[in-house]
Amino acid sequence: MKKKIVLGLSIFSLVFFVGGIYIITTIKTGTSTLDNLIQLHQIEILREHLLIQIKRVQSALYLKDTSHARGMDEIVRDVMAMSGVARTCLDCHHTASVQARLEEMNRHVEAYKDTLSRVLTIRAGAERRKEEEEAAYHAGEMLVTEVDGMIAAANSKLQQRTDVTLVMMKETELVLIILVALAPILATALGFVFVRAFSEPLGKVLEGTRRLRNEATGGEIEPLKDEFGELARSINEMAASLKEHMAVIDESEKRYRTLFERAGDAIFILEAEGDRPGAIVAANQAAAVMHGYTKEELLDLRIQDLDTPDSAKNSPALIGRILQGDLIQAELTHRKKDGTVFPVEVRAGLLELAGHKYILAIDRDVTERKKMEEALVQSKQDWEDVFDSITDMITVYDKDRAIVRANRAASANLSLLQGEALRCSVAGGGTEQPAVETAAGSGSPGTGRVMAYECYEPRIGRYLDLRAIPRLSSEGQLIGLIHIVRDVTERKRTEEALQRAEQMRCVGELAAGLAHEIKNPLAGLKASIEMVAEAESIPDEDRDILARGTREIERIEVLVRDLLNFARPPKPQFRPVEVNKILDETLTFLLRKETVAAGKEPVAVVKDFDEQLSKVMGDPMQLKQIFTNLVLNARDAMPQGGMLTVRTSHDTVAGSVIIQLSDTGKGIKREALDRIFEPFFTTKQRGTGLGLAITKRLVEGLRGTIAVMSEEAKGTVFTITLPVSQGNMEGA
Amino acid sequence: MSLLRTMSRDMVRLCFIACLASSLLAACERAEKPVPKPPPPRETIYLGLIPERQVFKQVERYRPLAKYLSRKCNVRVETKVLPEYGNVIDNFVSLGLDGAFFGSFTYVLGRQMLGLEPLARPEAPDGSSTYSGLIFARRERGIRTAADMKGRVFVFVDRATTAGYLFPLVYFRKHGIADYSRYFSETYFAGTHEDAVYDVLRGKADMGAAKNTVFARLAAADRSVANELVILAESPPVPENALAVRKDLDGAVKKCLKETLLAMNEDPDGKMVLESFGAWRFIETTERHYAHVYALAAEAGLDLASYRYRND
Repeated sequence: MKKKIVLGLSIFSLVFFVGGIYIITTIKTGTSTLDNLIQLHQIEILREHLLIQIKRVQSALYLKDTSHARGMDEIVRDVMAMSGVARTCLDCHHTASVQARLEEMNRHVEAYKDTLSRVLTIRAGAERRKEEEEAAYHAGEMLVTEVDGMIAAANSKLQQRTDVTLVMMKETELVLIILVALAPILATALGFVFVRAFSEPLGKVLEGTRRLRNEATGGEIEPLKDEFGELARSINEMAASLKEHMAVIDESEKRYRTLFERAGDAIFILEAEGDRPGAIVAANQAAAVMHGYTKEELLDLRIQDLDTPDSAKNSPALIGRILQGDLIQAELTHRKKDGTVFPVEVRAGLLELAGHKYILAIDRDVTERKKMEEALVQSKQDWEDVFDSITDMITVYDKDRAIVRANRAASANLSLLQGEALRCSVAGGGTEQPAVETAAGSGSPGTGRVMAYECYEPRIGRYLDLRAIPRLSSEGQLIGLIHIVRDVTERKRTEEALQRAEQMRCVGELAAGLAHEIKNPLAGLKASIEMVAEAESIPDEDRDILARGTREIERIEVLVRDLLNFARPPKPQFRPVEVNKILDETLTFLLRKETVAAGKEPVAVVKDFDEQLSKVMGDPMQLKQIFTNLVLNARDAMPQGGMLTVRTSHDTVAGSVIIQLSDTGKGIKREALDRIFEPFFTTKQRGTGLGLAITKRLVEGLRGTIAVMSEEAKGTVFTITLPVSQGNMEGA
Repeated sequence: MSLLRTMSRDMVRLCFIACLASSLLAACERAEKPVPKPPPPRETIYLGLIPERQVFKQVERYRPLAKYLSRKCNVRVETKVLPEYGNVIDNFVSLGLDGAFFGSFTYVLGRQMLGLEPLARPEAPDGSSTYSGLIFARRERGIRTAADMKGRVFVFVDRATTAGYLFPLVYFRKHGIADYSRYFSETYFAGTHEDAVYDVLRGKADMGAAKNTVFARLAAADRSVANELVILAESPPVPENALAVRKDLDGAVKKCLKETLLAMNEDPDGKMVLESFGAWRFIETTERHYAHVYALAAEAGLDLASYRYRND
């Protein structure tokens, strides 16, 4: 069909084109011919004009010496006009031959002018003048003849051209009549053919499409020719494809409908614009069940009707964000039909369907999740509290040894635990290196086992128990390290004290056994010596020696006694005692005796007793022995005299009585201060070194403590603390 | 059919006439370019032209200059060519001339009579503003001296010209020719310098006299002039044809004419006019520039006051 149309239109166009070309050509030719004729007429007129001018000049020449002679001005004017016309003829377009003739004519005109000028200006004899006049006249006549000839030629050509033009125009007229008459007929015929060729198959196509529209299944356009046939086939194929697609869309719609209705979360489609933004356009079954409404009831509501007042305040802002294209996720509270408030997690976004904006909102009841979250938070908090309550310093490291977690106890001492801070001697290792490094480098991470270290941190003077525990993920991968550091200083001291006590007990046992074994022989030895000394035959000097022996034995007896006292201190007999009274008695007796006996300088005694001092549960004899040892030591420390201050006070907070003995003696050296309570340690020349050891033992037997402070050349202070309440006062 | 043919022919002719009329109108329009109309001139002054060359060429030569002066001085300058040099003196008053481009001798003759005041004269592109008179003869006729001229035909230009008459008179006097009318077989006045040269060239005369500038111009256009003619004598230089006006001409017009001529070479339009005229510029001309003319007249023994300058 396309080819036929193209062919038909081409023929039509060609006919019109050819006709148009012919008409245009004819018009142009006619116009050109007319133009030529006009030009020829112009030329003819010009030449006539030139002829007239030449004749006029000739006449002036004739009349020159007559009474009708024209003035110079007039002659000049006529000659100039003639010359102008001649030049005008030359300026017109001519053929080469005509142009040559015209140029020749112009030369003749100029020559004529020369002769005229000579005639006008020469002043000579009659003969010469006549000769010039005749020459001028002759030139003029020649010019007239020449111009006449040209005029005749132009007339002849004009006549020929006119005849030719007439014939041509006649022919053109005929052709135009034919074209004007035939063109509409041809156009009408062609139009009829085209219309028929288009309308018939088009009608069939239209009929076929109507059938397709009306019939649910089947319906086809019958086969047609040419492009209409292709069109019919395409429409049939399109209809079949459309039916297939509709079936697929139906199926998809059913699936999405099922998904929508059976989703566990509430799905709302809300109006996003208009006069009721938030109005519920569609809702699934889950939405109805969640809120306690029917689906139909929900369609009468707006989403804001399901919000609690607090959530409803945020609704406009949320809708605004959704309209700007944001996807929002928010936790709100909704109210059911029965008024129950419950939390929902809302996810909503903009939905455009058919140019209209909606909001697609998916709500999830998160009541249970909330409860679980709260429980989890509480559990975490509990664990945090427990973690922080632990007095041990617990730090958790990652694989890069950075602290990721520390409990309160560790945080307080974090500077000690970080990096190289903790430089204590590894217990038993003898090497000093950072405990963290030790634990991390060669300990837990490498071995994967729990490593325990005991070290002493000199800067804080504490013993620390460090345990390094590998930190593993749930998959058993090593992800770091856990340090648990416990201050075991007290335990260590207690252990040392127990160890010392055990040592003492062993020593005491040994000493007691030894003393017991020595005592009897010593007694026998002393009696023997005394008996020998009493013999009169013994020389005096021997008697002195024997007396010295006796004194030495007595000294050994004292040592044995002290040793026995130290090793097996007597069990205290607890009864309420007044400390002030015992002190007073002891002081009075000792100082007089000592002063008088030793001939020493007197020591001033200052008593600062708390008169309201509570009674303590103690053994008076042992207390007396304790006070006696300390007073004697103070006395010994002040051989040149001094002052002894004895003070008693009551510590109501600790529930104890404090007895303080201060002297102004020579004091104790710093390096000896830590050892003065050790057995057999003495700074005296003569002494067993057991006095303070026994004193300490006795004080501790009475559940008390004893401490010492001293400064060389200034004095010493002993402080005894005895509990007021003894509790269950069973003996040692 | 014949009727149809007649009717068609008539129709064609009608069309032709209509087209002809329109084309003629168009041709008229094409012939003359419309120029902006100047304001109407205050007056008309008439300048005479001597027949130095072919009179119609003389008119054409001075036409652009006259138009230029008209435009510049807001006066209508019209030229009147005269058939004789002497006519300019005779007809100065009768023709109502206000001035003329006078030949040097014509000026001298008419100065006192007409109360003339010279304004300016042209200077040629080669810088010359004077001309000389030449006496020449056909080479092959063997005329070289005054003695050779005896019994020949001598053609003058005009009694009122320096080169074409005054100088030959001096030459004749110098060479002992007391009465040339008897010495020569015939003498006549060609009227123009060109004709004098052409007459000798064409053998109409044996000897002739004319301006050297005209001789040179003709020789440049036609080699036969230089080849076939021989120069026998040359006069001292005298001023070219200057514009002189009557002294009682309106002072402003006179001033404008003079200043315009003197400043033409500085005006682009003026330069174009000068080029068509054949000059480079116009220079001031005063009475003193005519000293040689007076000397020649004295040498020729002429009484300028009573000198008959007509060619009769």
